[in-house]
Formats: sequence, structure tokens, C-alpha cells
Amino acid sequence: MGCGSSLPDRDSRQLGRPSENGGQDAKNLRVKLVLLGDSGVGKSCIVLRFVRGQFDPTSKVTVGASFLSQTIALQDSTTVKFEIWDTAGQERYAALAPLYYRGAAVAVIVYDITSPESFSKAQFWVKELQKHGSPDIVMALVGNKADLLEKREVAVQDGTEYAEKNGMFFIETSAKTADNINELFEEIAKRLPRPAVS
Amino acid sequence: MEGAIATTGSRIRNNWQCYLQAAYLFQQLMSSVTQLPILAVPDFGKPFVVETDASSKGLGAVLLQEGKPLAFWSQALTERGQNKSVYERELMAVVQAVQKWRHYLMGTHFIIVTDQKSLKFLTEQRLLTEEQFKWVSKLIGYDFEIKYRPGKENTAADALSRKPMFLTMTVLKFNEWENWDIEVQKDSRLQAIMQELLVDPNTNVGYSMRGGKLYYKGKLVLPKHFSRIPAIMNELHSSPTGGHSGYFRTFKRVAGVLYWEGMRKDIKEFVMQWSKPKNWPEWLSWAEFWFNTNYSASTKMSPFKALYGQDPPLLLKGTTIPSKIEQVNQLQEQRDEILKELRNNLCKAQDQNRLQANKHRRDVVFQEEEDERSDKWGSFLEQVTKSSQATYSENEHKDTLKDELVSNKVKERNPHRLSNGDDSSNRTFSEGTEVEETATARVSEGDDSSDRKFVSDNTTGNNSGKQQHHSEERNTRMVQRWADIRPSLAVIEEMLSSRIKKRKKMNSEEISANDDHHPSIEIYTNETLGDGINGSRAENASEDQELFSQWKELETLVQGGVPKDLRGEVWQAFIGVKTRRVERYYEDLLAQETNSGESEEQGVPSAAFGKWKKQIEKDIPRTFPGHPALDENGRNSLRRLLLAYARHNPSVGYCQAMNFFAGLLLLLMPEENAFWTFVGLIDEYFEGCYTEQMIESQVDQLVFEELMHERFPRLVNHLDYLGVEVAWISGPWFLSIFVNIIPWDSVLRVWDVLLFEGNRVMLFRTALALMELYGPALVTTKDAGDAITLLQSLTGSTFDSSQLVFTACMGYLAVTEAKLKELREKHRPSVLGVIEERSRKGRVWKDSKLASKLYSFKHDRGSLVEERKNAGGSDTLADKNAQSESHSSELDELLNSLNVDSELNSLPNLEDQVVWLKVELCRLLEEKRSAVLRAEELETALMEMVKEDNRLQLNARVEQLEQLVAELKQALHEKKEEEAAMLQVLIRLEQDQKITEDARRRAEQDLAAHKYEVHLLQEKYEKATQSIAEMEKRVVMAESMLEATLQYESGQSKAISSPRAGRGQSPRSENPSRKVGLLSFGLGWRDRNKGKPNAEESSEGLHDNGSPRKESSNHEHDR
Repeated sequence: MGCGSSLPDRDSRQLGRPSENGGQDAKNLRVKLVLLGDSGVGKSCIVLRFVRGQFDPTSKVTVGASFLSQTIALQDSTTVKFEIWDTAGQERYAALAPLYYRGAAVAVIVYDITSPESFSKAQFWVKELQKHGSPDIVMALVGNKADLLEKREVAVQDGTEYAEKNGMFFIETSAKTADNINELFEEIAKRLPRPAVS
Repeated sequence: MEGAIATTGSRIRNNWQCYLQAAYLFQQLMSSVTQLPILAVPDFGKPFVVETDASSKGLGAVLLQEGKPLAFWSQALTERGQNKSVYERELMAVVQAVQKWRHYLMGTHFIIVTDQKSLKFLTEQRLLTEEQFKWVSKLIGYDFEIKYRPGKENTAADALSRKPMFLTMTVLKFNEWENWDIEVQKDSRLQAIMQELLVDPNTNVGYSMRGGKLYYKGKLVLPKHFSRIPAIMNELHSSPTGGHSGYFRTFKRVAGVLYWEGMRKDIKEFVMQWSKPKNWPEWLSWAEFWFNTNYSASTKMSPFKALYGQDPPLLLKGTTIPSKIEQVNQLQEQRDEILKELRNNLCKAQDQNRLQANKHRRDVVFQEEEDERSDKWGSFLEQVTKSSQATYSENEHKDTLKDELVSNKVKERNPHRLSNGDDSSNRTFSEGTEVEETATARVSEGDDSSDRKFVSDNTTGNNSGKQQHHSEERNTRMVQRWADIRPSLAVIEEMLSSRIKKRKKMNSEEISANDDHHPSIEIYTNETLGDGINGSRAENASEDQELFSQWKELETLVQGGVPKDLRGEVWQAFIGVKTRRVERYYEDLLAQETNSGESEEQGVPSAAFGKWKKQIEKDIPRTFPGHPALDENGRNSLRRLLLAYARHNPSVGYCQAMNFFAGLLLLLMPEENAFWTFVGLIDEYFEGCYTEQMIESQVDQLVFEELMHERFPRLVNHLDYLGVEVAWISGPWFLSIFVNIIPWDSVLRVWDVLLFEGNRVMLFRTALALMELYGPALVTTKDAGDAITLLQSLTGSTFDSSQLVFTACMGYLAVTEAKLKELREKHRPSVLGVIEERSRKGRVWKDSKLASKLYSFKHDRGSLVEERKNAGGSDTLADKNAQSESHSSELDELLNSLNVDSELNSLPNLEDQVVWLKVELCRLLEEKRSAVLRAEELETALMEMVKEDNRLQLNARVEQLEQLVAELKQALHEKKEEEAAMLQVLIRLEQDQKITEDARRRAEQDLAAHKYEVHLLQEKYEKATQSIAEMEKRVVMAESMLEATLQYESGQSKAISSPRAGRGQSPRSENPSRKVGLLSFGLGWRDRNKGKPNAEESSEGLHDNGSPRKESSNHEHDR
């Protein structure tokens, strides 16, 4: 029993340390997130919906990239500040994409469920990131425009399967109806690697 | 009108009038809120609290300390503001209140109390709109926390926010003047009027009675000799709120609320006493209020009235009305002192305030600036035209002829413009910022329209809609899309278009231009000297000098801004649209578009083109969405322009961002004019920037980063520290040429200079200027997100376009095209390297095809193109690898030469030929590109072979080395053996040594033993000698005893027979001799050992027979 009495002691010290020293970092995360995907799939709309709670069906073309940030609070009382880089969708802007996805902790790859082309473009981005992105990047595959069910051309299963194969998180969203937008970012926040607890 | 009101309203930014106004209001209406109906004096040691609230009509705020109000502020909301969400209004209230009271709040921690719960999350940047974004950015740098308090508790601010409803009541505060009542009663004339009115309200026209007070036309009537009139006028005229308006304005202000007989004269006299104050800045803080509440000659009413529909409340200093309560007086005095002090502080910030004031009064200033611009440009053009008329007379003549010819066309220009029917389209363009221009722009509109020769044509709008279905009508409409620029600008066009000709020449001859800060003039002068186009002035050097000075003047004018109504045409002149234009070229490009469905043999690869087309379709509705000019017709124009360009230059095709440029140009000029301007811009100014690989854009970013390092090392360090790369921010700036980045007005001003200079230098200068302007603010940020957010919002509010352009042009003169060129050369290889690496990786998958491709390349050129087309869809990234610059430049070269040809000889079939040739060229270029690709692949293969070769060599070398190693090992082994042997020998030697040692030791022992023996023997010998000696002694004793015995015996015998003595002697003598013999024997032995003495003894003995005693004593003595 002598052994037993000393164990909890050690445990409490181990548990106590990170919350005292690394508390600031463990509780308030800052994360660079980059949105990639074909032109017109709704990257900017997703960000706008998430950050400003708005949906503008006639948003402007994104030239180069645009930046917004948003902080969310999780249930475990940690906060995550997303520094979101929304990139231009046209193929040739891929030349500039490394500038933005370099050093990003999260990549959200978006396609349009009504466009198989955008789905294959998403797969291109996944490969690109696997090759050139940072190795521990958290990737999410997002099928946007989920409100346009009747025009769906990419099955949910396709998305799920592809995401599973590549170790990604998958979700279908609608920036228009705000469906799953917050869930997307919350889920990403949960999946972020935390500063080690023990 | 609405726009004008909205912006004027937003400009009501004044503290003190609101503050005072609120104070009075509060005295009257809010005594229930606090016990002391007068404001407290701030104590900077205690925390401040800002309570804010917003109602649907207005905003309100109270500055409190320890529950006591220090200041009140309220503001009516414009209609636009009223339409905002509750959250937004609340946010506005917070931000504006904080800004009002920044003197108190800056640098201290304070609390904001609001009844809008969501505002609590303000600091967490839950921003909703871009506008709010701007609001929140204004709070950066303040230290505050936001507390939520449900509406009912937040009474003070709540009531203030509803204040606009009480505005009229503020006038009633004059009732408080006790003197007023008394003096009115004393004034017999007023008494009479009042009496009459009580009897019959209609007796005195204009007068009325309300609540016991007399009003004239709704204005409070004062007694003619009212003691307070000088005080009132002083307040209205001389104080900052009065702003020294001068007679008329002062009169209008006073007359808005007060009336007394002879008022006009009194005011005039009063104003005459005052000359204009020298120290204007002291009043600048009030300038806005002054402006807003003053009678404006142009609108015939004060902006305040225009906005609120009523006259502004008058504000009088606290001391004007003495209070009975001593404490109140004291407080008022203190407050006035603070006011004074604040004024002094404002004085220190003179220049800033002046700028600020300018900004706030922008519609006035803008109009003035615009007028000034128009004047300057007008006189410049006049002057230049005059000076050139002598030499240009021939050209001029032609021009005018041409003008006459095209004048019919001009009447039908620009369909989208016509469809809108007014000019506001390009001013309402960017939300919010241009609205204010609209109001003033309208004033000048009358002049504009006549000047521009724009005549509306209702039929065009309908036509363009049907365009795609009625191709046969096309030709007639195409003509309508073009218009020559006004002849007066031809001079500028002539001045600058020469550089286009020069550039063509440079391209073809590959002469590197001696670019410096004024490349165009260099080129220009070279041109005039060398080229025969304007032979008449070629020889005249002094004329060149004159042209140079004209050019400098033009540069200054451009930096000051191109007048709005000239802009579209001036830009065309800058870019040399007239020189670039090839008749029917644009139409033919469009015709290709309509025919593309039927005929596939066009040169442009259809896969790529289809892609661009799709992208263009996607982007058209997303180009300046909601802009009135981009209606159905506007969009069609945009589509046509972009598609035509994609066909014109397939190396670029279509790139996002180009939609904005084309849209911008279409807002300023007719469609075909816009096309040629666009061609000049993208083909030349931004050559290589928007191609598939965007190489030049990437190079520019590296160049800009280097410039930033050079210019703002501290800022760059800070950004590095935050983990922000400069290119993240500057990338979008450059790619969009600042469209959607800075306010519209500023965009146009930057473009003015950019198009004039004919290169991308202005891009760099503007970006550097923005960094200069906002760098100091950026350095204060503490994380990457905040830094970028701040910079975005700051650049988004760069409303002072003149400041921006001048900072850019004057501050960065050292950033020249030559320097950029040098830096680009330096950085280009790294960009190309990355691209090459990526494309090589991409090519790995295709390696299997390599051999067959190589084969086909040698034998069948046609199949290559096909194969390329097939491959086009999937691996375009690698495939369209840098549609090489030489490509586009060659294209240009050809085009340019074609341009010249067609200008000389514009036969239609030749044009067809041109188009066909171009198509051919495109195809050839495609093939060439394929060849380049193949060459690259071959090179890779070769490299690999070389690598293989190397491997063999290396193997051989390895073998050699291995052998060497083996040898060495063996040698080592031998050496080791030798060493072992040596060791053994050594050991043996050692052993020997040991043995010897042992032997030696034994010998020594033996020696010692021998010595000991010797010693023992010696001892024995000594003992022996001793015992011999004893024996001798005994012998001696025995002898002596024997002698004695003998003597005794002899004595006895004598005694018996004496005679016998003789006789007896003889035998006896024989005996002694025997005895002597014995003795001598003994003595003899002794003699042998002792030598002589013994011999002597013995001889003595022999001689001394007679004395034996003597002899024995001798012996004893010896011993």
C-alpha cells in the first residue's frame, strides 16, 4: 500500500504541470487554415458564413487570396482562433497556392456536390498537399452546396470513401443555409493536435 | 440625394457640440437619472465607463466615472444607418463614443457597457460586415472590456439614443434664462405684440405664441436690446462652433433659432469687428460642425438641416448662463478650462487636423479639386495643341477630317453607358465611398454631357441582347462599339503612342532599352530623332526640349489625377489605343467566337479555350456584383471582351482578376476601345503576369519582398516575428492592381499613373506607399491575424487618394523600371527553378510515353499536336508550362507588324489573311512549345544517361578503393605480427635480465657468506693467536719457574758441593744448553713471527743467561 500512496502524488504532479505552464497555449490555440478547391465551389461563401454569418449569392471573385479570422470556443473551454486564407480557385492560381498552404495547420478542400469536375479538382489538391504540404496537416474534405440536392452529381459515398482513404475528415455543407458550417470548423478544432497534456 | 445625406451625416463627428448639447438636454430631461444635473469633472485616476445604446433613430452614449456622468453624446442615424441591424448600430455607437472621448480613454483601461449582448464578443472579432470591420479596427489600440447590461438598466444612454426626437426641445432651453422673461416683459413692443396675439393670433403675420413664449416664424423672439445678444453672437461667431463664418453665415445660423428686431444689422456690425482669425487650426476640431451647421451657398440650406430637416440646435458655453448654485458654476468653469486645454492640444495636431478636416469636407474639396484638375488639364491641352499645331498642322488637319468622319459613330458609342442613361454608373461603383461623389458629380453633369458628345441611343441596348442570334447584324453594331477619343487628346496620344512604336521596334530588334526613371521620354526623344514618322520635327532639338518639358508637365498632371470626364479617353491615349487598333480585328475575334461551334479548325486549342470560356462564364456575375452598369448588356460586353482577348492571346487566355480590369475599362470607355486598352495593359504592361504559370507575378513578389527588406527592415522583422510573409498581403495587391483593395477613387488614381508610365513601377511604388502609411500601425500588432486584418481594413480605407499617389510617386523615385528589371533578373531563376522542378515531378508519370513521343516527334509532327490536345485536359499544369514569354512577344511582334501593314492597307481579305496567319502562328507556336517540351524531356533523359555513366565510373573507383583498403589491411596485419614478435623478444630479454639479476643477487649472497666465513676464520685465528700468546706466557712462566727451580736446584747443589760447582757446571751447562735449545726453539718460532726482537731476545737470552730475571721482565714487557 506504500506504493499506492506515492502513485497519486506523482500523477497529480504530472497532470498539474501542463495546465500551469502550457495553459495559455493549450487553452487558446491559433491556427492557420487554408481553403483550396475549384473556382466557384463556394470557398469564400463558407468563410463568409462562418466568420460573418452572412451569405451573399453574388460574391466577388477572389483574386490571389483573402484573409479573415474567427475565434470559436469549444466545450472544454478552449478557444481556437482560425486565421483563414481563402485562395483563388482558378487552376493557374495553383502556382501561388504554396505561398498560402505552406505552414498551414489545416487545409479545407472544397468541392461542389453538383460538379464532378470540382470533385476531381479536390482530389488534385489532396495529392498536392500530400506531396508539398506540411506532413502533419489536418485535412478536411468538404462537399459544399448541399442544399442543391436535386442537382447532386457527386454521391455522399464518393466523398466519404475518398476522405477515408486519405485519412481526412469529410462533411457536406451549405453556406447558403448555414448547414454544417459551424460543425465543420468545430470538428476541425477538435482534431487539432493539442500541446501534449502529459 | 440619399447618398449625399448619408455621407454628410456620417461626417458629423464632433464632440463638444454634442457634448454640450447633451448636457443641456440632460439638465432638462434626465434629472431622474442622476442627482446632480450637471456634469462631473474627469479624474484620470479613476476608471471610465462608457455606456452606449442605439435605437432605431439614433445613437447615444454617456461617459461615466463612479456612476457620475462626465459627458453625453448622441447622434441621429441616417436613413442608411437606420436600416442597419441592431448589432451594427450598437457597434457604431460604441466605436463613435470611444472616438469622441478618446482624449479621456486613450491609454487607460475602461469599461464599455452595452445592452447588446453580442457586442461582448467584439474583441473576439465576430465581425459581420466589411463596414463593421472598419468600425472595429478603429477600436484597436484602446484598452477596454465590454460588459453587458440589459436595456432597462442602461437608461441614460438609451434615452440619449432616442434624442433626435427631442431635438426641437433643445431650443427651448433658452426659456431657462430668467433675464429673458424679465427683459421681454420690459420690452414694450414685444409685450404689445404678445397682447395682440393673445386676442387674435392672426394679427401679426409670422408671430405666434407657444407656451407663453413669443416666436417669429418659429424662432424664439428676443428683446431688441437683450443683454445677452453680444454673448450669443460671440458664441455663434467667434467660438470654435461658430468658426468665424462671416456675416452671412452667422446670420443664417442665428436666424435659424432666434429672432430680434435689427438682428441683421447687429450681426453685421458684430462680424465686422472680427477679422479672420490667424490661428485656424484651433477651430479645426469644430470645423466640421461649423460646416455641417452652416448655411451653404450651393445647397441653400445648412447640411445639418438638409440631413435632419430642421435647424441645428444652438450650443452655448456653460458660462453664458450663470447658475445660482455655486458648485455648478465651478463645475462649468472647470469644464470650460478642460475645453480650452483640449483646444490647445488640438492645436498641436494642426496639420493632421487640417488633413482630417479636408477629408471630412470632401465633397466640397472634391469638387474644387475636380474643377482645378479640369482647368489644369484644359489649359495644358490647349497649350500643347497650340505648340504642336505649327508642326502637326498636317496631321491635325487629317485628325479633324477623321473626326468629322467618325462623328456619326461617336453618337452611338458605348451600349452599356447608354442603357444606363446617366453617368452615375461609374461613381456608385464601389459601395459607400463613391456615393458622396455622386452628389457633386451631378452638379457638373450638365457640362459633361455636352462635352462628351454622348447621345443616348435606346436601340443599342436591345441589340446587344440579341447579338448572338443575329450574326448578320454584327458588323453594324461593331462599329458602334468604337469611338475615337476627342481630338484635343490626340497630342497626348501622339506623345505617348510613339513609345508603342518604339517598343515594337525593340521587340523586333531585341534592343535592350536604356530604361531609367523616364523611359518613355527617352524612347520618345529617340523616336523623334530617329524615326521618320514625324520627319518635320525630327531635326529640331529645341522642340524636343519643349516636348520634354511638356512631358514633365503632363507627368505632374497625371500624378495630380486625371479629370473624371477625361479619364477614359486619356487612358486610351496613354496606352496608345489608336496606334494599336487594327480595324475589324476585334470583330473577327468575336466572329470566331460565334463560329466556333461549327468550325473547329481554329488555331487555339479548343480544350483550353473551353476551359477559359467556362471560367469567364463563372466570373462574369461575380465581377462588381450588383453594379448597375453590369446589367445584361454590360455583362455581354464583358463576356465579349474577355473571350476576344482569350482568342487574341492564347498564352494568357483568361485569368481571374482580368474580369475586374475589363469591367473597370468598360465603365470608362466603349467596348472596342476597352478591348484595345485591355490588350495593351495585359500584353505589355503586365506581360507574363497572368499567363498559366504566372511567372512574372511570382518574380514581382520576390522583388517586392527584397524592396521591403531594403525599405522597411523593422516592419519586415516584425512581420517575420508574427510569421507573416509579405507576399501573402502584397500578392493579391499586385494581382488585382489594387482593384477591391483600396477605395475606388484611389484605384483610379493609381491606374492613372500606371497607365501613363507604361510599366508596373507604380504597382511597387503604391504598395511601398501603403506599407509606409500603415507600417507604423502594423508594428503594434501582436499576432498574425490581427496584423493582416488591420492592414486589410486600413488599406480598404485609403480614401486620401492624393496622399497615396504622392507618397508613391515622390517617396519612391528610386524604384525605377531599370532597378526592377535588375531585381527581376536576379529572382527569376529561382521561380523558374521551382516551376521546372514541379513540372519534372509531374512528368514522371509520363515517362513511359517518352520514347514513343520522341519517335513521333521525329517522324510525325501532326500527331504530336493531337496527342497534346488529348493530354490537355488532365495534365495542363505541367503541359502548359510557361507558355513562354518569347511566345507572346513573338506574337506581338507579328501582330505589330501586321498592325502597320493593315494600317497602310486595310483590305478586308488581307485582314482575313491576317487572322488566318495568326491562327497558323498559334498552331506553329503550339508545335514549337511541344518541341521545347520534348527537348526538355530529352535533356532529362540525357541527364539520366549521364548519371548512369557516372555510376560505372564510380563503381570502378569504388573497386579500386576497396582493393587499396584490402592492401592496407594486409599491411596493417603484418605490422601487427611484427609488433607481436618484437614483444616476445622483449619479453625474453626481460626474462634474461631477470635471471641475470637473480644470479647477481645469489653471487652477492655468496660473497656475503664468504665474507662472513672469512670473518669467522679471522676470529678463530685471533683466538688461536691469543691462546698461543697465553700458551707462550705459560711457557715463559713455566720457563721462569723452570729457571727458578733450576736456580734453586743449583743453589742446593753448591751448598752440598761447592767444588763441584765448577765441575758440576760443565754437565749442567750441557743441560741448560739443551734447555736453551728448547727455549731457542720457542724463541726461534717467535722470531720468525716477530723478527729481530725475538732474535735479539734470543741472543740476549743467549747473552743474558746471567740475568734471567731481566729476560722475563722483557718478555712481560712485550706482552
